[in-house]
Amino acid sequence: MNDDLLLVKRLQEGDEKAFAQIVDEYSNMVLRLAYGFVQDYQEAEDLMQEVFVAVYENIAHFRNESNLKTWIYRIAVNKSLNQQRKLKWKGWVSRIEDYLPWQNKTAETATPHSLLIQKEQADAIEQALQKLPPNQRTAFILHKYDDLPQTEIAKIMNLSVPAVESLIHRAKLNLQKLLVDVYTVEKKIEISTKRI
Amino acid sequence: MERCEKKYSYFAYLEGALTPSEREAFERHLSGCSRCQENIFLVQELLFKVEKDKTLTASPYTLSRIMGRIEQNRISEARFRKWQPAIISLVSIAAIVAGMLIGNYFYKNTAQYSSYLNLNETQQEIIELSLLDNN
Repeated sequence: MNDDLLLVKRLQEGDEKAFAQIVDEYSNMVLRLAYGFVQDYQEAEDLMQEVFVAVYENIAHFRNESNLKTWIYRIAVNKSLNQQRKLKWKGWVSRIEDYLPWQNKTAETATPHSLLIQKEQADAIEQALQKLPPNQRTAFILHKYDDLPQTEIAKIMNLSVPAVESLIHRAKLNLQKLLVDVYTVEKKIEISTKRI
Repeated sequence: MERCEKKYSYFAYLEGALTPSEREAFERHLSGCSRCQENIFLVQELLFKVEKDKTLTASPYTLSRIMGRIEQNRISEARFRKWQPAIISLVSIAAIVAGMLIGNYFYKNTAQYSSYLNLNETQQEIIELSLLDNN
């Protein structure tokens, strides 16, 4: 029996030290994945905690059909995609809030120029990632953030290896296009605000 | 800035996935295309960012926070279980009462309406005239 299966067995029998070992071994992996999706450290930490709570509460249902790592990844991907849907909704609300007259918008304009450019680029990267279709985003994040081989990504996403390969390829092409589009739009907005 | 109609994969270039001849052709193009220079810079920034993000590590308090959440879930589940029979009974009673009220309301309306419809024309006229007289 390999180490992971032994850990699962111990946890199923109620050994909390086994859970501590699982958290220790996989927390950074889940954190990176969650960060790839939400692009915010606090949100990613929160998400990572949720993933391990789900692991603890559902360990009784774990069957040895997949390995522990793949199972944890699947939970993390599902939770991250759900969280992103919630964040999208929050984004809409905050965009509406931006139009409210009592919102203070002076803080952003006070940023020094170089910081503003850095922020623009970071925003462009974040927005481009968020705009990728969920399947492409998942494949890209698993491939780039966790350096997973395509065979493992295929297992996590329940897809064939050629399908994963195609998803990653399309993700890169789309990301390149989105990145350029988003950054160009942001620059145009900046120029027009300066004129005003 | 000039437009660039050529479609290059900047990722393939930056990840070293191009063949030597493709690479050479792209570099030749790149040296004269400011649009591609700017675009490739953005993709490079993305790759730098991903590399930087890979160094993120979980807080040392992660385990205790997770255990805290699990404990919190246990408490709320126990609380819910304790109150579950009472909540279910209350909801059932409320549903029955609401059903009775709604049923009664529709029964009354239908009964009034159908009794009015069952009157013949002369009877209806008498009722209308007496109501008008009262006013």
